[in-house]
Amino acid sequence: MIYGLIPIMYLAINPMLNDSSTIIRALIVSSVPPLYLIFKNVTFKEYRVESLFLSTILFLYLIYWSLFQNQSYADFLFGAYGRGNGFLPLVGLYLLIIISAECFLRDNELFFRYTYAILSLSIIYGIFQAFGLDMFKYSGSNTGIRLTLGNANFASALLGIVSAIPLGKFFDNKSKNKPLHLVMYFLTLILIFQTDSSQGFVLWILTGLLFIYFRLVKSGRINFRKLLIINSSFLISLISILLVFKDSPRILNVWNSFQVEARYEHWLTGLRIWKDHAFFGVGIDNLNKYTGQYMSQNWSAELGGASVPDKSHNTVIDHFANGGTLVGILWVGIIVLISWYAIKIQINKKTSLENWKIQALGCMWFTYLLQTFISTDQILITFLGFLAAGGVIGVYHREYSKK
Amino acid sequence: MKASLRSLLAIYLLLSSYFFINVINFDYNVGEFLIQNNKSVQVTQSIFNGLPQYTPYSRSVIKAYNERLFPRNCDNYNYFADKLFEINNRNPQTHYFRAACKEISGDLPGAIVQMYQAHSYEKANPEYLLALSILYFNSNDYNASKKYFLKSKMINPNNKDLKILEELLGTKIDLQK
Repeated sequence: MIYGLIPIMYLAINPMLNDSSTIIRALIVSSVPPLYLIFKNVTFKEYRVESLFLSTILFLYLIYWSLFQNQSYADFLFGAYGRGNGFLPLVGLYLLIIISAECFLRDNELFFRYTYAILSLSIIYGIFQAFGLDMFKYSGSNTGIRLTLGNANFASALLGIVSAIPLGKFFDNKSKNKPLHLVMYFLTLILIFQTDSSQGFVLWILTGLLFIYFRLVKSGRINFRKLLIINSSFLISLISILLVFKDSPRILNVWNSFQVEARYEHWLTGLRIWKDHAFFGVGIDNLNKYTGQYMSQNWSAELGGASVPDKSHNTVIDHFANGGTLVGILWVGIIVLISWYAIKIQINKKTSLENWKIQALGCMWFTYLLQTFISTDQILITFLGFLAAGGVIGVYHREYSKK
Repeated sequence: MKASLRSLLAIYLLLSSYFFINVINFDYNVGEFLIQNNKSVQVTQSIFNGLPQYTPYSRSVIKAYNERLFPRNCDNYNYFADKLFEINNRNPQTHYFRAACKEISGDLPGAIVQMYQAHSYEKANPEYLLALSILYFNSNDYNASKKYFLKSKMINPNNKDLKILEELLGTKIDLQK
């Protein structure tokens, strides 16, 4: 039932508002999960470790705000910079993780069906936008299609994350329309190119790779340790080559198209802020108050001087800078835990779920996670990522840990 | 789930719904003002007496200032500076307004202190650098004026006000050295 929110969240925009793509979504994620919990029975006991991590993060944000931070109540509750990353949406999103954990084994078909539905909608709407036939003004004056997210990077990332569904359907043994799903997977790639953003491309590639890895692991042809060694060696070699030849025009081109330097500057700024506010942080979604002071002068000048980022483009650094060291550690703890579960469920031989669903779920979680390491959170993407996280937790506790 | 937890969630839901109704109402007015360009008193009043939400509020104030929707006097400067400070105590615009008030009151050293504070929050903002340069020029400190002028020019060489200041400053000091 909760998965019925997926298409609603995708379509929840209101062009009459100044902040057309966030407010209604923030309202939905803030109100539906508590409403659901009032009427439905959810046992938190099974997920007590995860609940403890998440509730402690919320508790610390609330205490730090009330005792140590000078932030207006509206900015604290909703967020100051039009992203809806304030306290209320965060409460709703964290509750969603637990609700999704509870519902996933029962309602997973709906999760995949609705996620596939938003991909199909994106393809149709994306074609309209690509031909300049968008009915909403906010996407008209910019290059790159934005779907209903109001930002080309986020649209690209969303497509990269949900591309796991058609690929999963393609690998589904019971699937009747395998070629159609493969076409959808490649149509997603074409649409990603229409966004003019490289994020989705990286996530699309990662989805493909993860699917291959998960299938190899499941079949027993390779284990995760070997995979980790192979991939780490490959990554280290790739980074070394990029660093050694960083002055060559081709490598510079790659560097620029992935905005490596800008991301690095964002991270550094966030880390500098955390260093000076290591105990209590600067407050939830409150980075922008400090970035103007902490960003390097050269980078600030490159951005025109008046442009001051409100995020560090890495949610781990954001949590450390916003909530201090303890909140940062708790956030790292929860994502490590979920990632561990996501790997564990891949090697579970006896499961009531079809293999492709477990694999697609793992892909969605890991691609969402990568997205949060290189970019900012967007409420719709976070919503999907957290539903996938809940799915992973649910499958692990119900099907893996009990064996 | 326990009844006490359900009651807590129900209270939370009521409060958050009330809050979001206010957010939507406020943001609708901000959209009217910033996007639809509706400058009616009803709309502007509802924004400036509305939610203390930093980005939409400060953008609306800046638009009102740029389009001279309020008289540029100390009362208004201080009113908006205080409002902005209430919402965000590290807001550079607060100090920009306070500097403007001190400047029109003839307190140039005080204006420089305030403008320097704005500059400390956004070190490469060409507007604040230019304002500092103008304040130093008016205080007859041409070396300091030149320093901030050159920084501002380096970041945004297309600013029209730079040209005027460059001509004035050129009559007082060699800008090439």
